[in-house]
Amino acid sequence: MTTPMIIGLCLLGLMLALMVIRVPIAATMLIPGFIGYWILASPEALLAHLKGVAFARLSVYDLSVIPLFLLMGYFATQGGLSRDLFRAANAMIGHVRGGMAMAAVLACAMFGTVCGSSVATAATIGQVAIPEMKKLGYSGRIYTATLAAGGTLGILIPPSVILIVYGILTEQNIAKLFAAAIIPGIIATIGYLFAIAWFARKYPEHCPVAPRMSRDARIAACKSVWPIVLIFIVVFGGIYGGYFSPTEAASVGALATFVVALAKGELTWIGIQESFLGTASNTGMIFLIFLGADLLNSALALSQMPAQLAQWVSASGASPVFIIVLILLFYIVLGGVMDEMSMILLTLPIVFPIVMGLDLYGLDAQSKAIWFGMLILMVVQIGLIAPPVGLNVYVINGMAKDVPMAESYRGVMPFLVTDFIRTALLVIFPQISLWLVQYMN
Amino acid sequence: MRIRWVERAALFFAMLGGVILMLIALMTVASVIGRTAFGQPVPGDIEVTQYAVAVAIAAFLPYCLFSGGNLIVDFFTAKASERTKRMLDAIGALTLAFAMGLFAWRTVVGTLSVKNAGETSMVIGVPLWWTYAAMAPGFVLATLAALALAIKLWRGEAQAGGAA
Repeated sequence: MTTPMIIGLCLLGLMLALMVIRVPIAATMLIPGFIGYWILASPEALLAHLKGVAFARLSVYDLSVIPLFLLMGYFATQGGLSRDLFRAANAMIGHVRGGMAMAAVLACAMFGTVCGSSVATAATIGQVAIPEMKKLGYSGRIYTATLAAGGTLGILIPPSVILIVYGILTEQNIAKLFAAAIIPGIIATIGYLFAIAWFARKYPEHCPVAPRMSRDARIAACKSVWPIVLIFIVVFGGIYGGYFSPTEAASVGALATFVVALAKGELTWIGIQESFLGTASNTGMIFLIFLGADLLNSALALSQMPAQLAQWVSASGASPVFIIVLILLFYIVLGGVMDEMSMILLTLPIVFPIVMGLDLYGLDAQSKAIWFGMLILMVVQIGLIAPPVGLNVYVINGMAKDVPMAESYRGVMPFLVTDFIRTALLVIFPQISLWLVQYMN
Repeated sequence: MRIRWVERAALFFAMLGGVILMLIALMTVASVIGRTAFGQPVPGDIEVTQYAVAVAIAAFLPYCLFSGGNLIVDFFTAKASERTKRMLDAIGALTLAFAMGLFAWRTVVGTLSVKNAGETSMVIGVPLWWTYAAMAPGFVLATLAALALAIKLWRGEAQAGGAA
């Protein structure tokens, strides 16, 4: 092992040590990044690099899409669109056993088409769905688990902040990545509906049945979701019809959602402020981590460690699919203690070259990159709801207030099972994600 | 140290960033309509978007620090006392203040060197140092915000952060 490689390992060790003592994740990457750059290049090189790095990393056109999509999601939240979605879904299937939980999952999936963040989706639909499920007599176990799992559809169904970040780090076309996520997103939604149906059969006392609504009430409820359908058609029709880029689509979508929310008379001045502040907090968080990961990865690249590692793995002679499975398992474990966005930003520059060096079902480079992006999405989804630290479970459990954490994690198990099955299917059949992409261009 | 005004300024910066995003969205819609209907987009729309969004992101940073947007790994210290966690978080906020201070300082230096070099954007020739100069206040205020957060945690006026 060369000296730079040892330094590289020390930097990673320092990062983990800082994480353990509660240093903010962005700083746990920035500090070793500074030190590594200082030692491996020179202090002058570090200072020169820092002069332009904030400008260079923040003023990237493809990244501009992130704050704009976040803003769009917040306008949809503040504009009451989530309530209409849940009511409509509930009007259609609320009367079957577990129906209201299924309606919450469907509302999450629909909301996922305008919102790119899983916590925001879970919290937004949770705000309207949790009180109603409580009122009907659903148990804490099922309603917290449903919302935590349903929320992960927010990042699976495009737009997706994680996919945008993945696309930028790996230089892939974001529109193609979005297309690749559509079928896995639908499969995930169906899987969650099955999980609820199974749970409701096994524990009927947890999921009371609501009376069927009149036909007129159902039609009225469905009519109220047209704005969100319209926004979806404009945004994605625009991207895939070739009228505008994803960044422009985010601008159009944000403005359209703003106008719709205003027209509905639900977006108040306070709501606009909340949207701006939510966007600020979320955007700041993502870009702080982005800066940190960028700096640490620059230092690691100087140490040659990622390149060496990729070489070593491809020379090891292990089966490529086996290596992919190992990487996914590593992510699931790491996601248990670490925030998923940080995990992806930090590890992708190391892991991606390894994956690209493998011969996977004879896929070409682009297909391989898109497929691996979907696998990353799957493990992020799992990490968001799996114990010991599932961010979505944490947030929803906090909203519900009176449900023990262990109950929520018990409820999450059937959803997790479908997550694992879907991930395995996607590992075995890359076509699930690539099939739609081939119809583009 | 009086902390209130730092929080107020962070709030103001965040709102300003939101307004910038709205203006960008408006310009983009105008550009898309112009391009599709009249074959004439807003000149330089792409570069204006990327520079303005960079400024908005920098303006978002201070508020992000105050609103708990700086994620922490809670897993290993879950059983520690509230006081210990608060002290650790205060130290964590200080490391963030150091990092933000470094970015602030270097971005100011970067502004001057880019200004001297006279670099401009490709399409409409906007001087690049404008963007640098507009980003610097975000980093300066982010440094102050991280310091203020450390003080609040130290004094027990803020709670230890949640899970990541």
